[in-house]
Amino acid sequence: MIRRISVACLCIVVLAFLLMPDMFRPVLQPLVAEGMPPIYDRANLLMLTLAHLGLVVAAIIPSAILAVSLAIFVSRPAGSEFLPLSRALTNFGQTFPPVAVLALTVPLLGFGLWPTLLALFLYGLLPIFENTLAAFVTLSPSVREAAAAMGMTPRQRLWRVELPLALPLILEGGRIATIIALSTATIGSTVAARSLGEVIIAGLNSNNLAFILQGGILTAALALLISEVFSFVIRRLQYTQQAR
Amino acid sequence: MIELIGLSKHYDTVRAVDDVTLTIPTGTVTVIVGASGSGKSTLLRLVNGLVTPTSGHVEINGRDTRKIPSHDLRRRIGYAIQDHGLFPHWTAARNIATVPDLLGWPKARVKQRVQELMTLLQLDPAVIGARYPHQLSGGQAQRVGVARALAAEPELLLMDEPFGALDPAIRAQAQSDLKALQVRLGTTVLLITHDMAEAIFLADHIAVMRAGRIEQYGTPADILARPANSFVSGLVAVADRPFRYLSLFSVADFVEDGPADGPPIPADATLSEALARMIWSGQDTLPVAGMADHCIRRHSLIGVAGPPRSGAVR
Amino acid sequence: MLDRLSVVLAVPIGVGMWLPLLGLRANRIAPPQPFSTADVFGFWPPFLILLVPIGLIFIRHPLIRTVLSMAGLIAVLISVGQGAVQLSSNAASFARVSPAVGAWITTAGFALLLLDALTRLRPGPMLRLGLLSCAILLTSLLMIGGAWDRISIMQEYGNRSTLFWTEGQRHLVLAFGSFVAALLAGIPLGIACHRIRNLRAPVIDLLTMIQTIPSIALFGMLILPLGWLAQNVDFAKALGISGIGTAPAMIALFLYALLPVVGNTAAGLDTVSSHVIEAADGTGFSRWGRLWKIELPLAMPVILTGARIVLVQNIGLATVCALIGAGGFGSFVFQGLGQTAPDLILLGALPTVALAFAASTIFGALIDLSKRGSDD
Repeated sequence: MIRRISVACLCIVVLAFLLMPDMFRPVLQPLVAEGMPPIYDRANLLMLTLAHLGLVVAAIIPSAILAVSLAIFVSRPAGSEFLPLSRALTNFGQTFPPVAVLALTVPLLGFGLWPTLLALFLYGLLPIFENTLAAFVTLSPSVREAAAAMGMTPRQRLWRVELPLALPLILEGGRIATIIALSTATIGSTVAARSLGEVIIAGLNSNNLAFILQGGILTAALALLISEVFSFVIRRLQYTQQAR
Repeated sequence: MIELIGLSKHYDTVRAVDDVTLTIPTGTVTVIVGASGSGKSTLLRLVNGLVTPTSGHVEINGRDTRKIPSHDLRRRIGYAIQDHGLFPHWTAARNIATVPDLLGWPKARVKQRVQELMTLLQLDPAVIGARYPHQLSGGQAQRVGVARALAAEPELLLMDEPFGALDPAIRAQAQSDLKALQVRLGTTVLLITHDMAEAIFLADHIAVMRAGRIEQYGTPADILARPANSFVSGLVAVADRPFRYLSLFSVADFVEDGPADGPPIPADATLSEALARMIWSGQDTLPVAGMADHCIRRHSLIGVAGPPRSGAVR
Repeated sequence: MLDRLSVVLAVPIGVGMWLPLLGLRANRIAPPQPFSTADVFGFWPPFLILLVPIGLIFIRHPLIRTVLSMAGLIAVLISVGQGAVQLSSNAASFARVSPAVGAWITTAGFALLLLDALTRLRPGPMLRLGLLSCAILLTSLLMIGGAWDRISIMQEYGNRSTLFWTEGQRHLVLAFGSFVAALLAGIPLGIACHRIRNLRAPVIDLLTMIQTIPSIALFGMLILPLGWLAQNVDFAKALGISGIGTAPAMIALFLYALLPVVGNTAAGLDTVSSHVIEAADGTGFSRWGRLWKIELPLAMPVILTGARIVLVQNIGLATVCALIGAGGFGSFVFQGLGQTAPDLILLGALPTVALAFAASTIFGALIDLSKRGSDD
């Protein structure tokens, strides 16, 4: 209950700040030297937030589709030859820092939106693939056997039993991927992608504490809210299928 | 009639099932008894194609099951397993409706069938129907599993240790319920268990299995009276074998003329109950309820329970 | 039967072999002029290298696969270095040679084949450590021998070799310093969470929340309180704490590191069965004795798994710390991004990846060794 109230409050504060930033001018004013703007003025904060979210959504949705499809493929008999490598590759991939992925896409694609999008897309694959595969592997053998024994075709087993039961874990992978993507998108501002990272970096460059703080808090609040939405949906799903 | 013809399943060098031929008459219960690793689970899975045989095949009413697509075959064969394997994301009612849904029955017919089965298995459709598997007790989940297996009126019901996960306290009741249900529906059942007492109670025919082969096949009376070898007689626990044998017959079958004193015993009680009562109360005869001037005599029972002699077993 | 994975990987390697291996640029920022392996060495070397993945289609033995794919990988890496030598010998002194798309694709293809072969080989922990040492040794020898000296990344390194090692040291101090601090604080906290039921949920919730906050945002939010400390508390100023630089970086990495350490310590202690605890109590262990001699050793594999996550995560995140002036390999990455100099970006990114990979491999082996101890 307390959790829901604090989430709602956070939501209201974020919205208020995005829609009427001037209301917060008195709070931020003491943080900056004379003559410096206390509210980020080089772009509309709401537009930046939407761009940030758009970047994450545009990367994570294709990433999730590909990751889940790959996990389905390697967990079928036809793809089993690729299972050991794909697992090793996931483990190996996760030792790749997200920043390094971003840094390595720049030489390939130049500056701007595309390298960031590619980095977010690539890095999003790992947690979703890993969680989907884990869900398939840990599916109770008696449920798996029952599905076959009831006369479901392989496709029916996948759509009616395996995927619905894997959904909470897949969404947990999606949550992790989205959080990492939100974070990496802020760094994307160093390669000229539009995101809230721009505000923080502008603050760091011009020594403007108010910029750093508003950018930081906005990004953090965004991440917390999105994570909370995922957790809420996951808890609801798990409620209906606790005994696995 | 279900026929298993020369079924074998070999894993590398291990012969899990080794040339098993078995006939299951329509409307009867056949129980396969064996220890774990005897190949009985593999044999059961060979019947509905969850395991592909190395050689041999299965015929249902004379039709070779290899010619039926595996998912079609399995929709015609009910399957109930030890830890029930209910789908955790579906309600009890939807679980029961699994096969009818796959077969594309009209909604109304599916709903009616689910209601019918739940009532038959003493599950309140209004209450239990909407529950998810994790909200069911062990006994309820087991019955939902059986209802799901029976939902599409299968030609054969396969059961893999169906009572294995139940408390001993409710297991006996579940066994009686299954027996009553089978008699009522006339379903052909192939059941596997490691528990000889369960097999004797439920079976019309018992097949004792060891190391992939059938050691003995026969009626419960055959198995108890003439175990084919020391392995089978070891399974039929030596100490209480006579009692188990007596439990196959009812008092009504052995009533003789003559008076007796004391409280009467019901006519449908088993002979082992009657003998126990006589030993406990020190009587040689017991009156039979509802049968005046009839009684049951101790020495006749002792004649039944001994090693089979000519005329002792009818 | 054909090995389908090798078929799938042989295609990109085959294509990559005929794509540009190297790019020759007249100066640091000029557009590159492409050269394929065949352009540099003639037809036969790329053809011979291509025989490896084709051969692997028919070979299933994991050891042979390992050796062959390793040979293929080394051949590509050396041909990159040697190609650069040949190209730059005919070019002006400002000219730069850098690996092009073909080099990346073939390297990745052979690396995947090697990874797959190693996975199928299932090496034990000691063998994995041995292989890692060999890889490090071989790479160092090739570098010292100057095999890649004419490649632009190495030229960037040559221009700032002192700085490279200084930043490397800072990177390690950031990553390992916060790692050790997180272990020192996190393991006791994890033990407390295991023992005190009501503590666990709020602590884990709070730490999960912290992990959710993007790194730059957390740095930003730490700048304010730390800056205040530096201005108003002499002791803090004497320690060199300020809103920018090492202090906020260290604190942020420490905070991120707490969740895996605390969570895994508590979860690891959960896995110790109650029978073992009862037996220990029955044998007369004291509460502390039981913790030290029984519970912690049994929980060790899970705790080490947490430590591995933390170390790999810290090595990566330390890169971002360069944004708030804490140095590390990230400073090359962000300078490179600022100057549009891919070679400089790689100079920062490649050692970070190598470091994280080495840390992960070493910890993976340690985890297996600690499990082996508990199996006996």
